This record gives sequence, structure tokens and C-alpha cells, in this order.
Amino acid sequence: MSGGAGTPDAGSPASSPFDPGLQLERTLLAWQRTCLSLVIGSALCVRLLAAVDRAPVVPVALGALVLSAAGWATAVARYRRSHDSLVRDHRRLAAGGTLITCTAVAALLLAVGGAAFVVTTGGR
Amino acid sequence: MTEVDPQHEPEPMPLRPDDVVPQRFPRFVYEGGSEPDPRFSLANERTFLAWVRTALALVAAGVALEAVSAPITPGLRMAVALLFVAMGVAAAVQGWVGWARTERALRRGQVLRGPSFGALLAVGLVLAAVLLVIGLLL
Repeated sequence: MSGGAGTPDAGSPASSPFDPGLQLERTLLAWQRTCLSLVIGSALCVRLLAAVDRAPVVPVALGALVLSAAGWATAVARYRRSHDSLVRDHRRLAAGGTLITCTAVAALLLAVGGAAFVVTTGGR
Repeated sequence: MTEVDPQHEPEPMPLRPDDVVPQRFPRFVYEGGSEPDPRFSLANERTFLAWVRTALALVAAGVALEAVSAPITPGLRMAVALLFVAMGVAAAVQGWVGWARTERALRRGQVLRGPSFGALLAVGLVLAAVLLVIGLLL
């Protein structure tokens, strides 16, 4: 696991994983593929928005890209923090529900965008 | 492969007096109980993420029906597309609510409840599939 994005350096005292089931690493991978799904969903949104006259395509595209990248970076930082907390300190997860709530809101926003698309262009 | 001892449970160490436990969001999840086995919390988190991806897939299905103008009566197509999007919303809400309820129950040692929208989503998916088949045959 050493050397990859978000993993601790091989030489550090906390380089071994927290548990043999690699739960924390699997959770990081789940976050990363969810972020990729959000990027793809946003890209589709922007592509469909581009067909609308005078739509704010560039700001929406940039915003979606920045938010998805921030989600990815936060997930990696969260992984590092949790790993340190689990291995070094008290076997406690140093993670709350903020990123989880933001992700749910992002999914809901995409769903609202999808509903708007279906309502405005559907039925033709 | 390392043999995993099923009896081995990572015990949380007791807090030292100078430990600062930061307030975590949302408060109604974290306010009571004790710190659960981190592996359970992580599994709960992955379940939430799976729900989010399911929600995105459902929304994408609805949008795709209209985007590619599937060869179905327009009214019926729009109804099925909206059904898919609505199920996407339900999946996202279910993901967050389920995560919060499970984390809260884990902290308090309570019984875990299953997905409350599970039956709704199953019925919605069957309905959408049936409507699609009818639309394609008409």
C-alpha cells in the first residue's frame, strides 16, 4: 500500500494498515469511485446544459469540477487523519458526517438538475 | 494470508483526561453512546456511498431516456423518466438517513434497522420496467 495516493510513507511508524481487512483503504476507494461518479454526472449535466441558449455553462462546469476535486481531496485527507488516529492514538475514527452530508446534498442537486432537464425537454 | 482471529476485537483505548473530543456533525448522531468498532462505522460509510452511486445511476437512467429520445410515446417516456429521477432522490435521501440512523444505533448498541425506502425503490423499479416494456410494445 506504500507510495499510492493518500497512503502514508513506507518508512513512517504508522505505515502498516489498521486492520487485516483493509476497511479504511476500501472505504477510501469507495469515496474515490463515488467522486468519479459525481464528476461524470456533473459532466453529463454540463453537456446537456450546453444545448440551452445563454446557459451559464462555464461557471457550472468549473464549479462542479472544483467541488468534485475538493471532495476527492477531503476524502484522502480524511483517510490520512483516520489512519493516524486509528493506528497511533486510540483506535478511534477521527471522522464525522460533514463530508457525508455534503456528498448527499451534491447527489440531490444532480437529481434536481436531472428533474429540471426531464421536465423542460421531456414529452416531445 | 494472515489468519484473522474472530475473537480479536480492537478495543478502543480509554480517553486520557487531556484528550479533546471535537464536536462532530451531525450532533444528533454523535451526541450519545460510546465510540463503536471503527470497522462498523467504515462499513456504514461504504453503504452510504453505495446508495449515492445508486442514486446517480437512477438519475442518469431517467435523464438518458429523454436525452436519447427513447422510441416510446412521449408522455409515457416522460413519466418513466420522472419516476427514475424520483427514485434517485429517494435513494440519496435513504443513503443519508440510513447512514445517520445506523451510526446512531451503533453508538448506542441498538438494533439496526433496514432501509426504509427499500420496498418503495423495488416497487418503483418494477413499475418503471413494466411501463418501459409497455411503451416499447405500443
